Amino acid sequence: MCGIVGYIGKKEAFNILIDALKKLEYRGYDSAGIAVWNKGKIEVIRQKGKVDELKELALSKGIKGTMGIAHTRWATHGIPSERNAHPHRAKDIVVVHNGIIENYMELKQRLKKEGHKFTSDTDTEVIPHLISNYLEKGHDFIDAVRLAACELKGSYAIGVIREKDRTMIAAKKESPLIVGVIDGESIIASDIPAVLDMTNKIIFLEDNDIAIFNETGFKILDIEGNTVERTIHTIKWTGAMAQKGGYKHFMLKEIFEQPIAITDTLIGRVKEDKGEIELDDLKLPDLRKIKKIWMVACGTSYHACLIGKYMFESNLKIPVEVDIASEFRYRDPIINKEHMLILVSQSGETADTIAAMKEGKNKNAYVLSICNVLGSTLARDAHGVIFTHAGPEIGVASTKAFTTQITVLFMLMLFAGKRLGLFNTRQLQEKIGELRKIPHKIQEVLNNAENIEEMARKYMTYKDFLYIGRGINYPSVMEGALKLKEISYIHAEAYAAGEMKHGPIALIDENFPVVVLSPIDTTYQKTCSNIEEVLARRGKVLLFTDTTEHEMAQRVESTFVMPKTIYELQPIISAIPLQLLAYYIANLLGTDVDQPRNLAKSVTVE
Amino acid sequence: MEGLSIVILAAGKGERMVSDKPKVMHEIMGKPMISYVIERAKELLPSNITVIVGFGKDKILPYIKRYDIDYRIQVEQKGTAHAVLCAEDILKHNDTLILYGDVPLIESSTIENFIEFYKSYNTITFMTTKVEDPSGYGRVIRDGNLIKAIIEDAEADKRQKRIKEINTGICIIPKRYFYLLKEIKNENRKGEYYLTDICLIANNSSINVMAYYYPKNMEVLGVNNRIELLEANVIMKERIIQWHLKKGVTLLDKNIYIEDSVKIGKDTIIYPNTHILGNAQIGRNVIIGPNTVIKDSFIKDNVVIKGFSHIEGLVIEKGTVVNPFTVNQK
Repeated sequence: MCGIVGYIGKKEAFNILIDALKKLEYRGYDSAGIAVWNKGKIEVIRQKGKVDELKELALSKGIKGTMGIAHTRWATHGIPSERNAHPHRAKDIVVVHNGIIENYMELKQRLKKEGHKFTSDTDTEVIPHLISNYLEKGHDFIDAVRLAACELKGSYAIGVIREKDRTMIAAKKESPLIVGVIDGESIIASDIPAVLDMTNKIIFLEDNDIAIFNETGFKILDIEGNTVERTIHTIKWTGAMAQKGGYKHFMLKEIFEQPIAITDTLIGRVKEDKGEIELDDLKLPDLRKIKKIWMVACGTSYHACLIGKYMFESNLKIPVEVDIASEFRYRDPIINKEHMLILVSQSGETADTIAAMKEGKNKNAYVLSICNVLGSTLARDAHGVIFTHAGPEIGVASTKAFTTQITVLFMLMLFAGKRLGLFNTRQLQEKIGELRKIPHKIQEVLNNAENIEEMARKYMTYKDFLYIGRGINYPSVMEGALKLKEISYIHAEAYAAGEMKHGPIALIDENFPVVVLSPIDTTYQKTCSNIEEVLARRGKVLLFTDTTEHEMAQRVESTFVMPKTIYELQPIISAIPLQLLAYYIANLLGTDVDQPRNLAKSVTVE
Repeated sequence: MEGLSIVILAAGKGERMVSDKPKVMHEIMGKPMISYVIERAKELLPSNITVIVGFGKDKILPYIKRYDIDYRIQVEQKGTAHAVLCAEDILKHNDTLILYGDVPLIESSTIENFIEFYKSYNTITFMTTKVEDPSGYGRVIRDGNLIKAIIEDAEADKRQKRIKEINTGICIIPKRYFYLLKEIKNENRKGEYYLTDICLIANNSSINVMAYYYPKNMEVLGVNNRIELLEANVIMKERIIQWHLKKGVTLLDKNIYIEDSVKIGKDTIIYPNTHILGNAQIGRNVIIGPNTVIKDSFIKDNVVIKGFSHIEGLVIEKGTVVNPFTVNQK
């Protein structure tokens, strides 16, 4: 996720762009850049770091002009650095981009053959080169951008300017882009808060739209070049609301972003038709020689690891041991060079997890990290890294980082299974097919969020909760209980359903709600018996299942039905209603959802 | 053919076609005429092929994409020299052969012989031909094998107008003389940059311009109106028929219409008034017709398709007998 803005009008573009960019910093902040057009010349300034640092640098250089584009970056391809920061330039074309170009390698190779020279590691750089290539063939500026857009696979919101024209062109597909409409001026941005200081008249560009801005106004074309009309909306949000995309809290916004976050995690990596997984440039050691896999993490990421254990052991038949990083680092674990250590952390800066990495490296294990932040310590120092591409997560309680971590673990499992010859192409195609359906299925759950809110209203006053599940659902309920604890401050305990009668059953009475996760799988009947046990003691059951015909559904207090998926992917779907339940209870209780007391987003101390 | 660039001019509107379609997209035996020129050019294996488009580029560009060749856009139609210079960045590295999108009947052997001739003189070479009525064409003023000048019809005086040897436009510009194109001026009645003016400029610099005379004028002249389009279609139809006869197909009449992309296996017999269109593929020992239309279908070996049938978009398995008057349309 990145933020882009663009401006054309009579005012100094610099101030407008910087102010707008600052409001998009929630979308990324590892590097930033600006390009301003002045009398047929474009000056580009970019650097690693936040928008404020860019502002100082640009001020010192005295940048001037009344048309420009700017960018704040959250790295996906290429580490945060000046070289990889936007805007990117080819000859007199300058581009800012938010999104991921899937076919950039292919385009880059073709353009290199035609003599184009590249200076960054980004996917974006192919865009100005592609546009420039069409200009060389004799197309006009608008046509060149349109034809380039036709060739891009993946997602993009782009702003383009050119030295020869006082024209700004924007195009979008699957990444957000809006136009702020002002008399005699135009502003484009990735999101509404960036433009609210200037106007509340907004056009939401649609996929495959090309918008052209100049002195006289603007027009919007479709990808074939036909003029199209788009409605101008009047926005009534305040600035603070807008930054959260109209949601009350970042956490809720991030819960609702999960279909997009998972799509971004998958983009360019899964090839359903060929039954292939491509994990960037990951070079794993010879997996036949790996005798044991360790998965080490903290908090929510630890729960993702526990889910990973169920996936890996049942499919790869390699033993997996999961450990909490702060335990692992001090207990002198028995590791050797025939082991692989997988470390999972959203920020890539979790102190205990970094220490665990050092432990593994000292003992000659192959160390692989899974994290969300490019350029973080875990990303840099591990032998291999897979990014979750969830975009910045601001709510302290992790949501989209968790589901994208599970997504990555699943892809890694398929990748390893293929290497080991455990899956044939048809099996891989089926599993990848299921994976690709996950974003839609999450959306189905989100569409029914109201039902969960109602459930939350019913149970918000209880002081203790028990969460139970079996098999791969056990770590899912652990995560569900953690969510409730951390944001609502209600005591919640997760137990393997089969363990209930070894202790917690003693607590059950009519004041003790029990959240049961019971999809149709091999442990379905066993879990039904556990529900019986709770009901027999007048406990209140909140049932989460994937069938409308669950045999206990008529007898429990509340039921929520989720879409069906395969066993290994169930935890991604199950996570959503449990996140929503925790969120709505906390919101009804009025706690500080995005920054709960005593907690920090990234735990960089022991 | 290393060291040779081919440029195909296809930017013109073709007023006399009286059409909304760009001229080179008009079809001959089921394919736009430009596709024949591109295919002949590709057979020569040159270093690169570039099509110059202008009028109707939005109709031409998507079509020529399948050939994997480069293109340049001539935004304003300012003459043939201007058109060639639109691709200067590609062409200047090699000798350049200039072909035309509206000269679809040209054969590979003709181009090969022309290039052979060029190689023995290694200087600017134009292909010429003769016609009974030369009006409208550029007249060739010769001095033996050399061309002194080519005078456009509009610029020619009475005496020059009687010359029957005319310029086909097809020519080769050696790499070392490519710069001469940039010296061409547009000081004429139409204000255009004529490629043929390179003759005068070359002669002024003591550079020879050669004439290569090719007698079969139908093959090397452009299609400019619907009459010529019909004539080209008839010639191409005959050529395709000859080709199939050589490959062992029996045709029982000349009134059989087979489009260019059709494939037919040997010992197949085709009865009169049969049309085989589009991407049809016919196996061996097939009997078709009379009065039958087959389009975009795969007819396997030993099939019999009896008369008065219309088959479109079907696969017909080996040995099937299709009854007369069978009609299948998508």
